[in-house]
Amino acid sequence: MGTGERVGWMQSAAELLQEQQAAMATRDVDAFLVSAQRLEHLFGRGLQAFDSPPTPMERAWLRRLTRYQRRHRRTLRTMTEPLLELDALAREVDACVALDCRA
Amino acid sequence: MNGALEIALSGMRAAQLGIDISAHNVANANTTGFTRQRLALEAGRGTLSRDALVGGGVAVDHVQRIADRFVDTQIREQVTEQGYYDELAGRLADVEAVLNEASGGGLGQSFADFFSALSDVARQPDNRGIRIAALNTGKNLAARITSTRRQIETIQAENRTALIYAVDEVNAKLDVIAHINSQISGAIKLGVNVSDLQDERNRVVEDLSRMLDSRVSIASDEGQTTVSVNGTSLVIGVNALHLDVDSSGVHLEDTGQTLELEFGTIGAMLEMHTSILPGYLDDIDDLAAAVISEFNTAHQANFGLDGSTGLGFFSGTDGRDIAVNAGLLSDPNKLASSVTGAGGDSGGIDALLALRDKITVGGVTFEEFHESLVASIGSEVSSAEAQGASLDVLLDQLYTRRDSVGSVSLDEEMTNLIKFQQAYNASARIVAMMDELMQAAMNIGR
Repeated sequence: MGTGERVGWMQSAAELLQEQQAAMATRDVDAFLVSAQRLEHLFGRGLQAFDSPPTPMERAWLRRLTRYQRRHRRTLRTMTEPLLELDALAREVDACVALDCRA
Repeated sequence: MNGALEIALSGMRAAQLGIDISAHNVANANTTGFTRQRLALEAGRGTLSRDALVGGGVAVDHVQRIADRFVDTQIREQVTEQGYYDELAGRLADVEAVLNEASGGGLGQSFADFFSALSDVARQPDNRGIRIAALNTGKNLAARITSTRRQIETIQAENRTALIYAVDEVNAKLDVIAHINSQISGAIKLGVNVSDLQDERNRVVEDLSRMLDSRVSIASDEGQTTVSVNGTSLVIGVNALHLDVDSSGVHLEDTGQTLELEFGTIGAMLEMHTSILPGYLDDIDDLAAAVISEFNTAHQANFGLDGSTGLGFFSGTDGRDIAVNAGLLSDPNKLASSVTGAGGDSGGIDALLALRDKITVGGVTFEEFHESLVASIGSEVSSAEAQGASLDVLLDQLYTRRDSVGSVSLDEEMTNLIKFQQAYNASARIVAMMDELMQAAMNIGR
């Protein structure tokens, strides 16, 4: 891969990150997960695929991008965790009602 | 009459306990992490007395700890990120100090000196002293590259040691949480107030949150805390698991399961260990390898003053072992300054000088690559510092919110003290009045 391709790779990553941000802003979990998956796939290919080594700035940029993505993932988890707990509690209550438990 | 005495006595006991709790609150007004407590009372069960249901005085329901669990959770969330960014900024600053050009004499200056010395050779290719000076600046450049790499390796070793200590600290905290869980569980069974133990546990959990991204849930039945990281429970009730660290990351000591620790101080150390420091070492190696390859290719094609050719300018493969070819250092005439082999010809040096503007590594020149190295560490440090600073502001707000709920208000405690004192006096007055009534009853018929 040449330098042009590398720039293209970085642009794709930046676009996916923006998609992820937009998904968070609209609280669209499905869209977030799709963009996160694509971003991880892109990162999986990494910068090793290029014919010349990346510059330090490119490496640092990639690290920051990864950091932001991790932060997004964590924020999403924080946002959804109370809902999951509520869901678990509701299922517990449903089961309790079904079993007619009087604890 | 005895019933009334018992009722008055329950009021005196409750008031006494209220005074004790207020005194405890006042005494801990400046204790870090202390959460104010409040006495929760309930009406005592009534009894039938002469066909009428009479109240049974007052009973102590429990001692309530005035805390907002939601704010505590938010604080833990933010403390984890703050721990991560603070640690990252500190460790990156160490790398920045190594790569820093501000103090002069850095790698950028070594490149400039080297090319400047080669220019001198190009002007007087037959001058032995100038040749020696040029080779020495090449030697300085190689030494600067290897020393920069070594310093980053030292930071890597220090980071590894810090990581081991941090994991030990986490293990100790997990043990403390499990121990407090056990104490709380026992105290609840005995009906003892557990507020202070909960405060202590909260402090330890918050310290732990600074180190790793822990999630905390509290079982309502026995008040025990479960601490988990990415879905893996580390403390369940009175049992704590331990972590272990090796070159591949942090694992559970028992099962060897790897934990993905992305935040907290440990997350930062792991990122330094697995990604950032190897990245900077790769940068230096890429630069060194390109310098060796490009200079050797140009040098090998030309001739020294003694007619020698095919010699590389540098030896080694990357930043670990780059050095000026020992053959050149022992005989400066072997420096390939000529394209034709004739004296006075500086074509060979011109070929070396042309490398200054050649795109050689990562799509840029040597010096641009190095500038990129310096700029990248600068931007990483400032980014981490900025993130940390923004979290400081957020955390200050959260601490204020927590304090507004749970911190001790001396005014309120003084009011409570007066209230309980009056309640005690009133109950004592009832006892005195009952005494008078009894005296009066006993005097009937005398």
